[in-house]
Amino acid sequence: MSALRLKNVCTGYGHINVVRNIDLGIASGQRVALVGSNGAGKSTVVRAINGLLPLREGDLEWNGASIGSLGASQRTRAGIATVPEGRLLFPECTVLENLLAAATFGDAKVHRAQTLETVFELFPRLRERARQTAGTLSGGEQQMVAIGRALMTRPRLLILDEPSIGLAPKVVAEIFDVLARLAQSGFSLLLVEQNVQLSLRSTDYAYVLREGQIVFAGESGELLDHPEVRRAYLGD
Amino acid sequence: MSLDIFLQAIVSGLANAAMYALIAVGLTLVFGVMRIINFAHGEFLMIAMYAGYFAWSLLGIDPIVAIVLVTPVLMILGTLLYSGVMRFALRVPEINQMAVTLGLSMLFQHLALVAFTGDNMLVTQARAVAGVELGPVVVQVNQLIACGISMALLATLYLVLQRTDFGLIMRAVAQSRDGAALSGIDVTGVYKWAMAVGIGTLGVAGPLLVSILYVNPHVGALFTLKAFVIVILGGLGNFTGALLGALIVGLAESIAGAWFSASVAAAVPFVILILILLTRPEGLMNRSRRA
Ligand SMILES: Nc1ncnc2c1ncn2[C@@H]1O[C@H](COP(=O)(O)OP(=O)(O)O)[C@@H](O)[C@H]1O
Ligand SMILES: [Mg+2]
Repeated sequence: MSALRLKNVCTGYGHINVVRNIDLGIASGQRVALVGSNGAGKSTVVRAINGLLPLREGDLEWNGASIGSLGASQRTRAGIATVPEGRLLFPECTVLENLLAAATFGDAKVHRAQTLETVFELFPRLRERARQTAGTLSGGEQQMVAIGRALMTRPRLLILDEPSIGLAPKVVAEIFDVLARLAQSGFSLLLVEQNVQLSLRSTDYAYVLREGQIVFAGESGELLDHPEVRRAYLGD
Repeated sequence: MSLDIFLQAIVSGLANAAMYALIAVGLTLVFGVMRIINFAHGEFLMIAMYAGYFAWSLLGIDPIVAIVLVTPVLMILGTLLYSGVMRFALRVPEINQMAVTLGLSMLFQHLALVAFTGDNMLVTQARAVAGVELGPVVVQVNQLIACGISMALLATLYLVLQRTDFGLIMRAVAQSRDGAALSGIDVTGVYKWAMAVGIGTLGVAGPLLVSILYVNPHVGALFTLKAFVIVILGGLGNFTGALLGALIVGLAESIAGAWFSASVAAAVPFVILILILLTRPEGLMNRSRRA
């Protein structure tokens, strides 16, 4: 049983279809990686899933129901949260406001104080910085806010678009440590990463995207040993 | 210029500034959230002034009471403006957006000319001629009332924006539309509310203003321009910046009026506009905005 299923998804910008015929599934509790070189269309797939980009063909199923025609906010409310490329924080709001703004609806609002406490336990740094303006934080701290904000919506699937980009190794380790803990507590994860090693090591299953199409799919461990994947992405 | 005249200019400048601020925050709020400058903003003020005038002349309703009736009407007009025009304007280039709202401004002026003629109309109650002496200076009672109500509303708006979820959601959309959508915020709903509040504030300003100043079909255009100067001064989309901008424009106008003449005073906002656009186009309280 797949929690999220992309069926023959096709989308893009302007006259160009950037991604085509994407079939991809994420089971409940599964950790999935989406890898591919710069410009392959990974972020475009992410936007097709979270609703920032409308589908041109195909459909999206979430727990059996079609969500292809829902807007981005409705998909978030349905349990699909994104830590987007570029983070898209509210830079003039405080850390606390960034987090609270993501829990202004339904269940997320009811459990707001409780989720906030969970986020602060995962990222103690955010508790210290709660009153600081988000735009003045370091890159690592901003990424923590972005993850925390996604968690505030009480998602069942968490999509992360290049969470490690531009961050110091120590911070990356800290963030991936949190992701591992989240996966253990039952979240489904879709991890988009430039760092293929890291991403295959922290997931169960992986899809390889090239020029807008999925060219490989399989267990992450097997892909790590796959000669062609090694040659293309791991510099063998 | 004697000290008394100078003080008088300061006091009337402050009173004007409070009204200007009330008119400008709506413009800056709508811009902050939707990134569209509504050049028909002043025409909604004109409509609110007529509404206040007719509530008094036909129904005998005091303008202060009329606020309670006119404001909801203006809020509804704001949401209609969103559904009928702004929703579509969001999808076209900036230059088209400007032309659309300018066209709307002209259209409303002509409709008002047809409906109400070009005559000047003013609410003339007994208190319109009354003044209060504050030491050496005299303030019109109506100006004092308008100033008080305006400041109370501005303070309320500020608190709502800073302290409530409703305000937080508006600020979130203003700072990152996509980030807000990914946070589960209904962006379209926020646009509608921003227009309701932004135009709704004019429902308070209109009845107050029509007991101080004549209303005619063209009165709105002047206020759009002044509000535009004010929000540019304060930084487009910046609420507290608009308050500062209103203070500067209100005081500069009245001091220039006392020093030179009323016609010089009328030119002052535009001198400020040209200077600011050429030297600090991001406004006095500049901040880089929006990813
Ligand atoms: N907003 C956009 N408008 C037009 N083209 C875009 C836009 N975003 C991405 N693209 C193009 O789509 C392709 C895939 O981009 P993207 O999905 O960001 O790749 P990735 O995330 O794998 O690096 C690239 O060729 C890029 O130039
Ligand atoms: Mg990308």
